[in-house]
Amino acid sequence: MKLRTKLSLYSTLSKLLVLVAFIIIVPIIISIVSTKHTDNRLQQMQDKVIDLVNKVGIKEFIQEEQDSIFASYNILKEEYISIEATEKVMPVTHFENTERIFEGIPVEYRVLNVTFRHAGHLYLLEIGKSLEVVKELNGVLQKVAFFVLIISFAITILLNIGYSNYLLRPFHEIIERKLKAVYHPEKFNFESIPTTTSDFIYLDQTINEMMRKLKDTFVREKEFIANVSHELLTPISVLQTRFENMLSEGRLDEESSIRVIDSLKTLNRLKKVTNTLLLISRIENEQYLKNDAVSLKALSMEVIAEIEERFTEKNIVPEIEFTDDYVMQRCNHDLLFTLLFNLVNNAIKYNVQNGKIYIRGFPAADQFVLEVEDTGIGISSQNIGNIFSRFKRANITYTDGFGLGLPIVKTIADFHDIDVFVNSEPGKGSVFRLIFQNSGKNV
Amino acid sequence: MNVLIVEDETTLSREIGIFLTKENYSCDIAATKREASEKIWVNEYDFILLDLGLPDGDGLSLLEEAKNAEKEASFIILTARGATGDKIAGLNLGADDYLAKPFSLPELHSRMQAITRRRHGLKKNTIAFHGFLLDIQNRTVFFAETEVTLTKKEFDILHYLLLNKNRVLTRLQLTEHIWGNILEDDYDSNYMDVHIKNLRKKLSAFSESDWLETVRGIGYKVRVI
Repeated sequence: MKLRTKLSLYSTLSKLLVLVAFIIIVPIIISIVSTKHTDNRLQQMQDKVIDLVNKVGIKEFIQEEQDSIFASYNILKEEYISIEATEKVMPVTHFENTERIFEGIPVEYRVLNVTFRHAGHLYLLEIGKSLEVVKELNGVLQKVAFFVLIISFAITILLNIGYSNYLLRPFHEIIERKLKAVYHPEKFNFESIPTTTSDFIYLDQTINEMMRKLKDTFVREKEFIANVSHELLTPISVLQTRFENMLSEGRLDEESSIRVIDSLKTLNRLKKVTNTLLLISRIENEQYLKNDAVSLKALSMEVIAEIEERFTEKNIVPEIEFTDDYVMQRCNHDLLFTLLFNLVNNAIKYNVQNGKIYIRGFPAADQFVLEVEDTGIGISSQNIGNIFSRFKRANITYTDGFGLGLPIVKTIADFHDIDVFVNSEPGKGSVFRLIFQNSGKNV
Repeated sequence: MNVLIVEDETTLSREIGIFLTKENYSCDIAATKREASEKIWVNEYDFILLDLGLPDGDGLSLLEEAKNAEKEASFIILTARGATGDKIAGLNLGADDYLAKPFSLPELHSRMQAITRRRHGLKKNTIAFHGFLLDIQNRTVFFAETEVTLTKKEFDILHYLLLNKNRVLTRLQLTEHIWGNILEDDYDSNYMDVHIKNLRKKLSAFSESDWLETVRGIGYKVRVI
């Protein structure tokens, strides 16, 4: 889940929690407050009534007889007052909610009960106030509060989303520009992302720092490759030219000439190994451009034409079956050529006389497959894991070569995001399968 | 023709010198950038063979300097650095060709001849030999009015042998010229022999081809007087 989504979700949920709490608490508070308020009113009324009784005398309200009750209601039955003589002393003023029935309709009242002494007699005063009004008021108050809460909830959530978007924009820019868009440290853009959030500034700086180190390493490795190639290839060059001069001067007898030629061959092997290792390092160091568009069908033809004499020697006619062509964009033609050359060359080298070689190209789902199948000696299962490792080739005999053909294949394939698979059965043959992702096709 | 070999590895420049002198070039040698710079200023060269990694600076700046001074010389960069960037930079600065070390001397010679031909127009775009005429531009071989149909590789082999006439070319040198940079490890093959055999057969249909000699155990040679 995105950070932005999480933040928005968090703030929404926390607000929702607060809202729910409010919805639960507000009626309680309102009812407590309004009860308190009602009780206060009743208390005031009690004081007034007692004052009045003291002023005008109890007789205005109640007869001397024991069971006489004074009761007064206002017209809408919102309030009532009753006074009656009593024997029981109530120590404190007592409030309660009770129901009274008027004209067959039950009405809830908040009732104050208190006893007071007047002229030697004990009286019970009861003042009631209808709760209908209070409840109605409560309802209105709650609605208003609820409405205000919902509105402010919505507004703050919108503000929150907007602000977190704004806050996180530099972060997304860092991701897009500094992490996603980079595929080589040499092409890295060190320009800092504008932001005032110190965490992002720190992140940006840390990434820059990291890339600087990476870039240094790349540059050093490049220099190392250049130096090593210079140090190794220059002496080889000296020896090669010297041997060539010795040969062309024609002063050597036949035997010496042949020995010089043998030396040249050995030297050539040294040169090839060095160049191959350098090639692998250079590819891994991304020193090759990917500016070509290559048709796999045409490339296969090119490779076959280049090594036709090897096919002839083994008396093999390659069978080429393309159900469709695939033009690989943004690749390096020479490297792809080397890749396919190595595969086809192996298919010939490890094949039997009069064997068969199939080169197939076909689309599969949203990919394109290029297969090179041979009827050669195959690869045993314990060796198949090592065939792409440098200097670990199966059945190596030294004179056979140095076993860097498949590591080159792997390196070039990796460089171009091509997947390589191999199926093999010893004694029957091998199939090397290159999987090209469709992404290269339509760009 | 005058050649300046700019190379800090003196054994290498000496061997190149020996080879080119035999091909009737007159050779000068410079081991440092400063030395080379002085020589280029004082003398007029047809060719400057330039190593990029010189002890007192980059060979590319020497190339730039010479081009700025409007020197006529053709530059061939010889380098063991072999990075693609160097190659592009060199060719952009006006180098005529680029050879990665280690290179074979006949290859260097054929590149120099190609440059000479380019510089002196189309005049000498054919090579005549034993009644045949090889057209470099159109990649054809004629005997009198009749075309000898050669494959691409047969043509390249014949052309390379003719450029290095009267010299034995080893199978390795020929193979490297034809297959170039393909990193193949089993050069010790007889593919070259098959091509030569076919080439001889095609040429013999028109005239004697004993001038295309096999030098036992070594390689092949085209004998032209």
